[in-house]
Amino acid sequence: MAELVSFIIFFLGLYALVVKRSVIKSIIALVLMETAVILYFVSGGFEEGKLPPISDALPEQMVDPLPQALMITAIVIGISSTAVALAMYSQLHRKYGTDDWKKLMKIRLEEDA
Amino acid sequence: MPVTIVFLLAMVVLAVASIQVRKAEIAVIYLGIFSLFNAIFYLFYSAPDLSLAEAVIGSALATALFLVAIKGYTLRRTQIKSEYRSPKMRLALFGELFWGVVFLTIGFIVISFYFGTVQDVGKPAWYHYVRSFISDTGARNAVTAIYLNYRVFDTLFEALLLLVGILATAYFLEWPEGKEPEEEIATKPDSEIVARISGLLYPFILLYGFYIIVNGHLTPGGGFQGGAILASVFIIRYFAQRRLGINIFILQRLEKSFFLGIIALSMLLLLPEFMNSDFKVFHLVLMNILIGFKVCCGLAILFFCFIFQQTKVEDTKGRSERG
Repeated sequence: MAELVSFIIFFLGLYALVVKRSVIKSIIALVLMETAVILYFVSGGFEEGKLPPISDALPEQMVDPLPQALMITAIVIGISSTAVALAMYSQLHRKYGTDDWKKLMKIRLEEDA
Repeated sequence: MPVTIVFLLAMVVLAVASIQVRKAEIAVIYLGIFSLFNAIFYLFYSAPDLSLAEAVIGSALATALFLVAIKGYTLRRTQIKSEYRSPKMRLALFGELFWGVVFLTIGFIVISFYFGTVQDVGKPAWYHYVRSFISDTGARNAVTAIYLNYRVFDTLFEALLLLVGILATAYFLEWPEGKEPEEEIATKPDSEIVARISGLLYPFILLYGFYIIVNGHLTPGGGFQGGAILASVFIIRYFAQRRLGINIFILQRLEKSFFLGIIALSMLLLLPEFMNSDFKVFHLVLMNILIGFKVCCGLAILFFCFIFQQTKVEDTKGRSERG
């Protein structure tokens, strides 16, 4: 179930990334896709009835700790990449005064011509 | 389990809402609630470490960063209405619907391929890790054992990527060299009550952050989560008192030196005769403390970059309105 939902959220993010005209919506779409990937990894390491990988449980009862350890680093990297995207957005908006991809493209083309 | 299904459905609904809502602030708030539901969902899937990380970083800090970055940039309600009423825009909205259907179809084709080809190869890594992590590393939390001992290279490169992300943010936001921004940013706090109450809260939040960091090898948590909680102290302090109270350049130097410390400390794993059972636990705690302080410095720098940028924007706006 969670694997299916992670696929759905990933493709929702891809849809928003391609279709939406606002830059901030594109950044939100990136965050959604990243969350979907993390969700997929976590649900891949889980089986029904398993306990968290902390000492009190027997080894056979624990879930797979490897995807969890990898995904913690993915979350921290995720916020730094979001911050870089937001910084670019901030500069873009300050320079051109709009957050619409099409208008931005038009302004850039006029600047070049 | 029916509870998990409710949470998954709520996540899908919130994802759609944050994509479809026109006003950017509301979309960001929906995204924060989405992350919070995601964090609760990880608890049901036996991942308390991830749940803590997602709640602190994904739900709280990312939302704060978004809100500060888009402050003053979004459209007014009347502007949105006049733009969305035009027939050209109606055509564009129809195009969006078309592309949405196309992408969902592609998604379902990929899913059907995926479920057709999935193959169970067993879990050799799981078997090794859960059986021997206590005797190998001295940690009681298998997740900490993996990211501080078995796969410490991942953690090193993650710390490096965080550093690179912060440098890139500071570069894009044009942090002025050698200038002390403290005086420019200081304004009056919004509310006296919030300022006083948050003064009471600091010690408890700091204590909780240190607890999470130091007990990372025994309980859920660790350097990343605890560091983010410590960074939230700086953020609350800014929102309550409207001043930074710390020099950003010292913070940057501190972060780089903590990173050097992490690299130097992880090199000790190459000397097996040095790592007896007592020193292993001490090593884990020390690594967690260094990572916690590094993440705290990094996230605080990220936040202050955006705050400084916003005050610069408001400053220039105010000047142009006055002049």
